[in-house]
Amino acid sequence: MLKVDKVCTYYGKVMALHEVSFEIGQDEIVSIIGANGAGKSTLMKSIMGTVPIKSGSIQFEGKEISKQKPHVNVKNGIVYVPEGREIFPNLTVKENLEMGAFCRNYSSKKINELYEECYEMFPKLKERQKQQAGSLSGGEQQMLAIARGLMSEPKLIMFDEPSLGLAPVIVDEVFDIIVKLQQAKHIPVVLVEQNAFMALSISNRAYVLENGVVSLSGQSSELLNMPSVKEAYLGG
Amino acid sequence: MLKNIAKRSALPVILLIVAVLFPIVVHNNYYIQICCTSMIYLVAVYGLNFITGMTGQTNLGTAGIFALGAYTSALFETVLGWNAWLSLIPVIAMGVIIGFGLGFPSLRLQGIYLALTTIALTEIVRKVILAWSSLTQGALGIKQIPNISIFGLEIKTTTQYYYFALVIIVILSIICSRIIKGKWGRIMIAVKDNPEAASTCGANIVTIKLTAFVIAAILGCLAGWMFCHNYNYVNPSTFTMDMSINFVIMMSLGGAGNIYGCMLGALAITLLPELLRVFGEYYQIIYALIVVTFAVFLPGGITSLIKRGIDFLKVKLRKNAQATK
Amino acid sequence: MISTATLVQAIVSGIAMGLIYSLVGIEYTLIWNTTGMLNFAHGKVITFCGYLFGALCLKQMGLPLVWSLILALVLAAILALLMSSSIFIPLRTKDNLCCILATVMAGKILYEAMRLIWGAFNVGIDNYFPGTINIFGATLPATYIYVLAIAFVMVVALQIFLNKTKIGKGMKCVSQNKNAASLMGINVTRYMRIATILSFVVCCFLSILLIPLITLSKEMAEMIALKGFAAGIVGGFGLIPGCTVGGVILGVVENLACIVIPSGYKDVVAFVLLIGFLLIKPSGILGKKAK
Repeated sequence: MLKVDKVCTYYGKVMALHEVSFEIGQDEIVSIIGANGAGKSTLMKSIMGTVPIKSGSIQFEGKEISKQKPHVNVKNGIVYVPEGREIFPNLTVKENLEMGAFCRNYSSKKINELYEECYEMFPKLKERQKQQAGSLSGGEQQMLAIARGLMSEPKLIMFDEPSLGLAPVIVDEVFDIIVKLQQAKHIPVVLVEQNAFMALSISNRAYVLENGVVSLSGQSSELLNMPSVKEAYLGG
Repeated sequence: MLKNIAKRSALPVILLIVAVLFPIVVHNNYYIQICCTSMIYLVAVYGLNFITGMTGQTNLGTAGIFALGAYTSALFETVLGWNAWLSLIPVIAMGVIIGFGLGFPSLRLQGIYLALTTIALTEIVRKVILAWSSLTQGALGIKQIPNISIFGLEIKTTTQYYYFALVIIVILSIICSRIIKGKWGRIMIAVKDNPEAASTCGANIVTIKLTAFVIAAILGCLAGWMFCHNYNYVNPSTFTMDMSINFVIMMSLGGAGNIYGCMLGALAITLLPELLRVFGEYYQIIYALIVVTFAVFLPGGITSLIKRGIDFLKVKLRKNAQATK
Repeated sequence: MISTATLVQAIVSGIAMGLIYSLVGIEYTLIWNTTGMLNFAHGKVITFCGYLFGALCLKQMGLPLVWSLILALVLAAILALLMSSSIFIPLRTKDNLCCILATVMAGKILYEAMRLIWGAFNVGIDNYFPGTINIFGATLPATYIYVLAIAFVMVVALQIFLNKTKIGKGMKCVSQNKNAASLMGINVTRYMRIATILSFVVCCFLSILLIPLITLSKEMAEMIALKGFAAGIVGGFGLIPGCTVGGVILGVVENLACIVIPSGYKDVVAFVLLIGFLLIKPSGILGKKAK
């Protein structure tokens, strides 16, 4: 579904990604783990088009998308739930959700259906629909960011560090939701995480990024038990 | 060691010689007057350089400061009959007052808000001068401001004024250059680049900003003092936001934070309208286009272009030297 | 004792002028919110639109009022596309001084264009809001009432547009968080252009409202433009409802002040308010206290 092939990305003169390749199929969760600064977010932004790539190719559903701007990728069905949530603080929860469906021209009947679906999956958001998004807690904002991403009925969804800054109990909830929605929608999910254990536990396959290079890849269950991975990312 | 001193003083000495010889070589009063005007503006630009070029505080109110300096000296001389040198005292005092007046808002306001405040202050100054006609003669302006006299010699002609201004510029250039290259200069640049980091290094932001504003205001008022004795006439329509913007252009075009940049800017911008007269009706548009092009492509000003050119040549010469070895 | 008539005169004309300040506030806030640039040329834009409407369409082409309005709006939109593509969008990431210089110089270019095209033109336009109205014993030129009504309708229409239509909501998002907006499928650059077009359309309406009040001249909108900044700051910088509140307050306070202070100082009131608010409550009346 999404194929990233030998992508190089530079920030000025600094090379952030060096010939990174990965791919994801129709119905799986793939996680990308690595330390801070390894290039995980850069990879996401390169796919979305927020950051331009120097060389390599990115193909979505067989079409080359490496030169497209972010809003075009969104219209084509790739949703990116960014690092730090990036919700609209001065809009209400419901208005944020509405913006999620902005790129589609849904009838009001369809939008209401989508709202209902969201509220079923995220009951807390239903309670707070009229509240200003900026006043929600970290966990609630993350739920909102995920729900908002789902509003445009994406074909592929990418999560960038969803556990960042959240309490462990909330982190569990968030990952629960990610698994549930993947099983319900059968869409590919790319999960970028520093929390390697959680990421490997819920994903089918994984890639390890180190200093802008893919150092390991394979089935998540295998990587979980690999000594090198255990030492570096799972606390020995 | 002597070679270093010789290298460093080469440029200023050459400039000084050219400047001293200029009126002798060029007898055209018109061009000498242009140089006088550039020098007067240069004083104000030196001031602006401290605030905006170095400390990074947006200041669009230089025309207002200039106006206050000019009117203060004009009023003290025409109404109270003081002579020019005596009226320097209230002029400098006015500079200090304005410096604090503008400095305090700058402690709380940044960027665009500070820009708007300085614009507002300039407009208030202009409107008050216009409206308080019992004091300032309003739109008519103040006429017949006496000339400056040094030990009995009255500075009447353009050429006399030229040398008078030149002396002031030389003194101020040395002082400002000292400040810029010294401790204060570096601290100001630090405050422009990153105020939080500067304060964690022990710099007292309040003192620095206020000092920068006071210096700038004193210089601005001084420029106003020089201005009213050159033209012997002031009126409020001269001191508009257009003038403030011109000062900013002079400072940026030449290259902010740089004495030679200021000189280049002041001369270029005063001279440019004359050079562009060829284009007749279109010269304002071309002027505006030139400024926009510089603002977009060369934010460092002309001196940054020259520096890049010199660096490029140095690298080339080094490469050639290595190749021939 | 101040007569009721004087008071009513001051307040009604104050609200009318105030709504004009509000509209100025709104037009520059639209561009500020989406691009982060303050359009220092907006006074010249307003005046230029005035010449497009009054000189070009009304006089030189001899079109009737409504057609002149429509053509002027179209031309204003074209100007908006030109300016946003050449100045607002390319320069928005550069530093403050650069942005200020660029917009001021753009204003200069517009001014010179006006001078070159229409300089010698004697624009005598008959007041298209004729008559007088009597309120509480005060006789006012009907112009003020027309201006008040039209400006009020515009402010309300803009509020509805920004809050209820899809494009308006998109613009709100671009103002709040550009990154997130682009991730919602919003073409941020395109919305900046749309915001500029909307801003210049408002400028065009402003010029039409100003012509009967001030008469068409190259300096027509300068003071109004600066006071528009004050309106935004007083009411809440960056907030559209703030501009509305700030503008009306400014208009009324100005006029009331002139009952007590000499009228030569009228313009000073706006700037004193601007500085006062910036020093005491920079977020304005409607703004929340920034951290």
